Amino acid sequence: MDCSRVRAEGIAESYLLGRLDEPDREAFEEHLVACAACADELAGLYTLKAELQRSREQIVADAAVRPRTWHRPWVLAVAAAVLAVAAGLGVWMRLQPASGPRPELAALAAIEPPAYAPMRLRGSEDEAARRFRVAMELYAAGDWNGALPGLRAAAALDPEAPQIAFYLGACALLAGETDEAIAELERTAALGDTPFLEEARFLLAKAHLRNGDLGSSGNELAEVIALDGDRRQEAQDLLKRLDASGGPDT
Amino acid sequence: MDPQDPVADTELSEAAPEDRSAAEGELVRQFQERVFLIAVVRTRDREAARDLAQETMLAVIRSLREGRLLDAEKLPAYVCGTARNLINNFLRARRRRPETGQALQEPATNGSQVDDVEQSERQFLARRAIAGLQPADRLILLLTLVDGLKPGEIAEKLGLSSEVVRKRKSRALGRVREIIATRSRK
Repeated sequence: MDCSRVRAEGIAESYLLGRLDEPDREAFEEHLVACAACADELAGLYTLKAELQRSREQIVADAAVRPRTWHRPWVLAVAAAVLAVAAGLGVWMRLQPASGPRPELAALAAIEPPAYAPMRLRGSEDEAARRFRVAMELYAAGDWNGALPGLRAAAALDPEAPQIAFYLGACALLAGETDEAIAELERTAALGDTPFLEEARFLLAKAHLRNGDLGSSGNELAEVIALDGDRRQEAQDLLKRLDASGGPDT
Repeated sequence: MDPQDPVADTELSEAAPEDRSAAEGELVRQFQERVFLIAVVRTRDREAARDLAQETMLAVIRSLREGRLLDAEKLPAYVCGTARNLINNFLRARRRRPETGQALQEPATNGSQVDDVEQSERQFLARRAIAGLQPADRLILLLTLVDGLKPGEIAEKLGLSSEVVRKRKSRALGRVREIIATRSRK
């Protein structure tokens, strides 16, 4: 066992939690005795665990006072109420409120094209990367419809590449292909903890909004808020504006 | 083996008697905490772990003095093997008489004076790191490290997706790690 495997696989944490099988446990112990850095890592985790345990009651109490936006049932209730009104009256986007402002959903669904900075790839470029690069030149020029076919081809060649899935989703949304956008952005999010996760969720919220699916939009915004990244504030504001359209508990 | 590790170069068994005690001191300083860590994770009993670490070091020094360990390269593996035997014996004995077993999960902060400065500093930094986290992240770390729950199980409890839990957990751990690491950089 070496330090890079310990880091990559979270071995110290698994060891602390008693989750390693015997061969891995023994290999880690042998490595640990000889390695100051990994011994430090385990000592830090062990201390952290002890301190968390010591403050358990406080931690649980603090977490119980959560921001409202964490309560998904509330988000769904608001969305359901808004959708019910919308369904009853047909063209819900033109509804005028009896009191208070109604959000201009079309305006809320508007997006800024995600910025793209070409990345230098190591080694030789494969066919998917080449198609992606060419398509992104069109994307950077604002030609969404022109970029779409190349991005689709790149995604078909390399379905695991998060940047291709993400920009295909974003591009489809910009080109007005909302259903394709939703499928591609969901695929991006399903690829896990990538640099595009938060942005994909945020665009998904916008895409659902564009489809008038406020429930799904609210769910995605709650996910963005929970991710607690750069879009947190914007997602909160957006949820508030959905709330202003007549949630049951406001 | 860590190239920065001074123990790697300590050829204790070959040292002249007058250099022995300094070299033995260095050996204990380097290995005892690591053995203690292994022992405390395996036994979850700090007092027993302290005794086991001490016993291990005594046994290793005895072997060195008796010239039974000539290859300095093999020292870490020897320390580890000795510790493992003693820990396994302890665990077997405890299983046979569970009624006399000590309380599991003894909080680290109740440790005796033997706790060294390094550990108190680590505790201080861990507390500071925890205080700097958001309440939800603290809860995610508590459920992960203390309750041993996996991201999927935590996600279900908190009404989040596993992906959010995984991301928040790894970010929170990264922040804590950064703060605790300031200790070793000093």
